[in-house]
Order: sequence, then structure tokens, then C-alpha cells
Amino acid sequence: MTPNRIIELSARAIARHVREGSLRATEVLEAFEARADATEPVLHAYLLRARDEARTAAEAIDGARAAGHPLGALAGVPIGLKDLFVIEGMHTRAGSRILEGWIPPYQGTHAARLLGAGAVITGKLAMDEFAMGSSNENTPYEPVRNPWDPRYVPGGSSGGSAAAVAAGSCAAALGSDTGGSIRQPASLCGVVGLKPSYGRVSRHGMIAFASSLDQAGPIARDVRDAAALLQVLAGPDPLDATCVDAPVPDYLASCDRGAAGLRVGVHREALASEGLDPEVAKAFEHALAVLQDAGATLVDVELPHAEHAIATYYVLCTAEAASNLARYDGLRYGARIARASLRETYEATREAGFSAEVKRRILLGTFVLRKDSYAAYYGQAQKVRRLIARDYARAFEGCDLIASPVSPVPGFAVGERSHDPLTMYLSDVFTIGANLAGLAAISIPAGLSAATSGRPALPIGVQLMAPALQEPTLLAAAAAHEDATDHHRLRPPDPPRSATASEPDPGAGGAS
Amino acid sequence: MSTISRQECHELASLARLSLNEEEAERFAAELSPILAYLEQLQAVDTMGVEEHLPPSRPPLGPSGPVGSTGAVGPAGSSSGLRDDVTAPPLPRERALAGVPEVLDGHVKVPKFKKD
Repeated sequence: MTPNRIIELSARAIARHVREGSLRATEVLEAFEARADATEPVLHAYLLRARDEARTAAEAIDGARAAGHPLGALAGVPIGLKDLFVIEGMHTRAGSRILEGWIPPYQGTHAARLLGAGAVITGKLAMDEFAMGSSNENTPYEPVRNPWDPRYVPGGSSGGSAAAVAAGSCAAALGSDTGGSIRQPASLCGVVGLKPSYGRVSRHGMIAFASSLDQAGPIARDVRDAAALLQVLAGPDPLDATCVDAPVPDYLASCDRGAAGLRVGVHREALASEGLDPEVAKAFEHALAVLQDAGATLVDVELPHAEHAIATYYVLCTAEAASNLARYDGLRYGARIARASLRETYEATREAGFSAEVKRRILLGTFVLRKDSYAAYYGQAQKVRRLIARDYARAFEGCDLIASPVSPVPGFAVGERSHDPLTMYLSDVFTIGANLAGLAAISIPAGLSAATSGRPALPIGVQLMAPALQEPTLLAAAAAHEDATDHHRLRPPDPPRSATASEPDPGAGGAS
Repeated sequence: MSTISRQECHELASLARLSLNEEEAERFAAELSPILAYLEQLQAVDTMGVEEHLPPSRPPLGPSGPVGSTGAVGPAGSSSGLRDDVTAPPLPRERALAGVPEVLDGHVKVPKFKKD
């Protein structure tokens, strides 16, 4: 099989070929590495390419097959991990200078489970520092570019993961989602991004941003690949007390269940916001029609507190971040800027190690937790969070899923929004609710925007949300949509366009 | 409307063990003020009688699903995930210390933090 055909295979097909012996894991790895060699100079999706480790892992798979040993569900599948996933012995930084040089002395649950299933880890994928961002521009390293047009951002914070999967420099990837960080980049890069229910996947070995919201999940080229990865990742973990001890259903089987009889809720009020790009609205309505054709029915839902989700989220996530990031003190790991006193060492290390968005969120989090503002901000946000969770619970009494856009705009140009943190925060409007309420959610490809003089054709995603632990219903509807469309087969230009081609109209990347 | 002054930025930074230069303090004051103004909308939400959200893992979970009588976010049919308190073998000391910036006699070496 030619390298170009290999990188077109689904992760499931790769594993099947490797198990059956019609492809070697090393041959698969070489195909994806060649692709990464071609795309990385433009896209910068990888912070670290683990060529040696990947080669060793692929050879071990081929050796195991030759010796007649049984191979796992992801045998020989090249998978990239967002840089906040701990891999024992592999440089892990969460995209931050403050962890420069840190080599984890322990194995994270995600890497352990993927390797246990035969996956070949291709490296660490770039991200907004500590997962704080929606564009991959919050980085001290080279920002990731969108494979569909490198003048555009790939989304964030799992932008490296989405860009690598879209470009074919790995077959699937792992991302993390605190307020949309799997779903939004998946939408902007035209791939599938699944945020499991809170507690469905362990957080052990995932560097924390906001612990009550963070969840790990797959980014893949189709729904069934996402299901196959979730199958491997899901399940209780004695090393994470928030990981729920519930049975893990057969997710791949649920993908074949179809959408017939499912009630899909639509929160019409949210769609009326003036920030919604008409191309996104059009793609969304089309996706609803596809689901109806597959036998789903539409119902209107009310989410009375949805308008407060962004404010609630940015109080809670910054508070949790300020607390979680207190551990980066320059003493125990990563970089240390040595000074005469302990306090000066803390301050010098944190001053040099964190970039602006991380400092901004630590300051905000410190403000909302401070004694004189706690009740009005943090305490109040925890109450509103409960009201938002109740809204969803009531809405799900009348429907099985809730559908919405993922991002209000198809994409935005590099530099277009980086000067305005509040506008960047407001773009999370459709994704944050699932994190606040602990729901399962997925972004699936819904086509391309029409190219205009100011903006190229860019992918658009649609989101489905389901109650906690109802991933089977989510996957059934997502797969039914995918089976009826060809959006997931669209591929970005190969080779990628140059990032230095004529700049797009800076005002044309969508409304804000 | 809440605004944050440069001085307040310095105070928050001090609490968070960040040290800002004047330029940063000015920039963060300018950026944080509109963000705080946006967050102020929460204060208008009627939360009379509503309890604060509980972390999802805190037992006991509500009996009736994701949002049970306690309102806690926790899937139905799941337990809290708490395991028995059994000691597991720790990381060997040399591996645990391998990534520490400064080590002295098997310990993490830190700068002086007490007055003589």
C-alpha cells in the first residue's frame, strides 16, 4: 500500500491491517512520519516528535505479531498526545516554559492505556500554554497553523492535536477539554472531537488547568475512530477519585444504532445572537435536517441561565487555575530562576516561566478567590453553575441530545483576536455548558464555509451534547449524521499552502 | 463597575507570587477591568436558596441522576471512585528527584526562607 493510501486509512482499519499482517506497524509509522515531515514546517502541530520512541514501539508491535502474540485494539496506530499528557520519560511541558526540561518520572493513565492497546505514540502536540486559549496563540513556542489555511488559527487549546489529525501527521490524537478545547479546534480543523462526560476518562497524568472542568478525549477523523479511542481510555482509575466507576459500554456498537427516534433539542434563543456567522447557521440547520432524515425529531429547549455560562466559567476556571498553578514554584520540577530568598525565587521563576494569558488568568483567579470578593464572584458562580446544570437536567427530560454550533465563526485569522482576551473568551459560548454541567459532547464536521474575497473556505463543526454517561446516544447520532454525509472525507490542501501568502483581510474572520 | 488599578494588580500578583513590572501592571489593569465588568453580570442572577455547586466526586451523589436532590453533577449508577486507603509502593527516591532543579543529599534544595 502506498504511504498516501495508508494515511487515508481510519485508525480502526490500520489496526485491523496490522493485526492481520497486511501492513507492518513500522510501515504505517513511516507513512505518517513522511506526512509530518512535509507538513510540520508550515503547521508546527508538534512540540516534540518522538521518532526514536515511536520506532521502538512500532518494531515491538511487529515483533509481537511475528511471535504470534495477540495485538490490541489500536495495534500500530500512530497517535499524538497533547503536550499536557504525561508520558513517562518523554519531555512534557503543557506548552509552558515553566516546565522546560521536565521529564515525567511516572506514566500517565492515558499513555499507559493507549500503549497497552498497541498504539504508537508519535509525540507531543502543541497547545495554548496550560490549555488556556482558543487559538494556539498563547504560546512561547511557534503557534500552530490551520491545515486548511495557515493564515488561520487551528483553534485551541488542543490546536496541535486537531491540526495534526486533519493534516494526517497522526491517525488520531488526544486532547483535553476544559471549556471547549477539544471541540472548538476539531470544528475549526474539520475533524471529530469528543469530550467525554466528566469522570468518564481518568485525569491522572493530565496536567491540571481547572480540575472540576478538565476532561481528556479523542480527536479523530471519523466518529467511529473517536469511539474506538474512547473504548480504550474510558473506565475507572484508582489514581483519580473523580473518575467514575461505571460500566464501559461497547461504544463502537453504539455507532451503528442510528438516530431513529432520538429527540434532538435545539436552544433557539442562543442561535439568535448577532455574533453567529451566517455560514455557521446554515451548516447547523443543514445538520439538523440530516438528523431528521435519519429519523430524529427536533424539539425546542429552554436553558434560562445559558447567557451566564461564560461569566460563570471564567470565574471558576481562573480560580481553579490560580490554585492549580501554585505548584509551579521553581523548587520541585521544571525551570528554576535561582534568587537569594525563597520568595524571590518563586516570583522570578513564575515571572519568567508563565506568559501573559496564564498570568492574566492567575490574577483574575486570585481576585475572585480573595476574601473580599469570594462571595460575590466565586461563591456566586458556584451557585449559578448549579442553576445551569439544573437547566440541562430539565432540558434533557424532553430530549435525548442537544444540538448547537461549536464555534460562532468558521475560523479567524492569526493575530485577529489575540489582542482582545474578552472577545476570545466570548467565542466559547456554545461549548462551555457541557463542562459546567459535566455532560458528554462531540463536535462533528458539517461542511465548509463558502469562500469569499475576504475569507477562504474553512471547516464548520456542529455540536451534539448528551447527559452524563450517555456517550452511546451521542455516538449513535453523530455516526448517523456522518453516515449520511461526506463532510468527514474532506481533506485540507496537500501540500499545505504557505503561511506567508497574501494576508487575508483582518476584519473578515467573522463577527465577534 | 469594578475596575482594577495598577496598584491592585501588584497586590494580586504578590498574593499569587508573581512579580509584575510597571508595564505589565498597566496592561493587566487595562485588560482585567472590562473582563471584571463582564463577570459582574453574575451578581444580578437570583440565587436565593441555591447552594454552591459541589465537586462531582464528593459523595454522596444525588440518587436520581446527573442532577439529583443535591444538585451535584454526578452520573447515575456510578460510585464516587474513592478507593480503599491502601499504601502503594512509592516512586524510588532517585527517580522522584531526577527532575528537581537542585538536589542536596537526597533532598530538594531550596533557597533560604527563614531569618537567622
